[in-house]
Amino acid sequence: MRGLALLLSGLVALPALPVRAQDVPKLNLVIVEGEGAINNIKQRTAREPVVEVEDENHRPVAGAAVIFDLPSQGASGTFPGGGHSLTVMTDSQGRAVARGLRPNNVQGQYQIQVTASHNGHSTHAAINQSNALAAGATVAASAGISGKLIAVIVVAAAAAAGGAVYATHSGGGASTPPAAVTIAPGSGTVGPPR
Amino acid sequence: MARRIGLVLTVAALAAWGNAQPGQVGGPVIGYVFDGSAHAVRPVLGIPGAALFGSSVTLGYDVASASISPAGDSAVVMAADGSLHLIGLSGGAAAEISLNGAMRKPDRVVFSPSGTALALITNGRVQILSGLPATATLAATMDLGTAASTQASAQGGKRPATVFGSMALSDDGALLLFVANGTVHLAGAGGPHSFDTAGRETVVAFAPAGHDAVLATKTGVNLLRSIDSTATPEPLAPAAPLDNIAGAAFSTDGKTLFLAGGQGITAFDLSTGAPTAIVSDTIPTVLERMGGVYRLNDLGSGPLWVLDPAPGHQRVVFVPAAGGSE
Repeated sequence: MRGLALLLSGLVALPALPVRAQDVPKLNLVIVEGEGAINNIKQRTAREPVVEVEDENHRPVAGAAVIFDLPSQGASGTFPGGGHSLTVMTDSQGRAVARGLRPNNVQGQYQIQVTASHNGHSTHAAINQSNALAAGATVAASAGISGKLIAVIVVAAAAAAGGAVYATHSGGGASTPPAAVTIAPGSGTVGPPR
Repeated sequence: MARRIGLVLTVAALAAWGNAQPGQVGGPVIGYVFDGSAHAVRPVLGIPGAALFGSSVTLGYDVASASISPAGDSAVVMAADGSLHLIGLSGGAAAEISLNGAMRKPDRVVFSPSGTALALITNGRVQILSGLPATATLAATMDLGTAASTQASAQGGKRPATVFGSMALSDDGALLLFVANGTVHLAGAGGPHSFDTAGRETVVAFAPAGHDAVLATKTGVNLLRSIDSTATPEPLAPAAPLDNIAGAAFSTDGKTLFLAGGQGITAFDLSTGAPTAIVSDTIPTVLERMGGVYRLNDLGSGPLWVLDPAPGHQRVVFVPAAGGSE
């Protein structure tokens, strides 16, 4: 009886196990191309947005669904078929290209909303582009780069992230430097032959 | 053995009955099929595994081509004289249904999965009829021509001719999925929206009585529940690699997806996503619902192969070659 009481008191004394939240793998959406692009209204050409979907370990996720949404009013564009939205599945490199984007004839800035989903998880980002008449667009095109893109590259370079912009599950589009990895020597043991 | 003898006797009895009573149809009708050599629509009599072709449906004219409703209760018939007819089918008999306002020579006819709606297509122009078969009404028209815009045209190149591929219509006639120049487009109430399948040959199909749909390529099968511009594709893993996809169709209850591709047929349980390979002695060239079964080839000089979708007993059987026709 006394033993039982001790056992019970021992159980009560055990520290409570922390309740672990279910591990939810995060998706990262990387804007590879198209950020800051200035599209030529006159030629009806646009820089096709390219995004890459990665898992939380920055490995590409193939077969994820990526939906590109264009504004329905104002400066915007259309995808093949005349629609404002396009769904693309990522390839083996985790990449999705919004092919066939054509700017409309309204000048101005706009955002392409991008949503990636895979296995019940999703993430979101926005790609900033603008429509301009030929002259301005030509300058941008000849430079091959926009001011906004330069800023992105500077930030990305500073973060040593290889020029990619990471948008996390919470959205936002802020760059996230990769976690530092530390490699330390292990303690070896040498003994006589057995 | 006894079962096989039973099947043989059933076939023999049906054959004798069919020969003895030309022009009449009785008993179970599995579905209807267009017989190009007989220039006619013919019923398939019997049960899967013990069936044969019945006499031609009496229409009063030769048939140049015919598209049969998946439910087998109506058909769009192009007569040899070039006239277009919508007919109701019941018990092997046909009745003309008014087609007021419909285009006269469609290049293509697409039925919805239950045959309650129909799309007539010519040069990218679409007329949608709903309320089939009893109250066929011209419900909508649309132009698919804008789908011709391609990457080439966006880059200032010459716009190539639109090449239309697989098409599917929802049962309510509200949504049309079609493949043009390698991209899948959703037109109608939920569109316009596009699905880029990387230029691969894509087969599309709607589930009955709803807006669930499937997009299938040899590299992936994706289910879209309540398809619209925000629908997220759910990948389905086939049992074996799909070299060529001949067709896709849902079961009548929408719980199973059948996919013909590679060397055979895969049935997906849509509640779990689990694939089941169905043994087939033929390589399917189509997969289209034909009443109570799914047709796996066009009727030619050989047998007509069909998939019997009976749950738990899914199998591929054939209807013996049609031979002559009355």
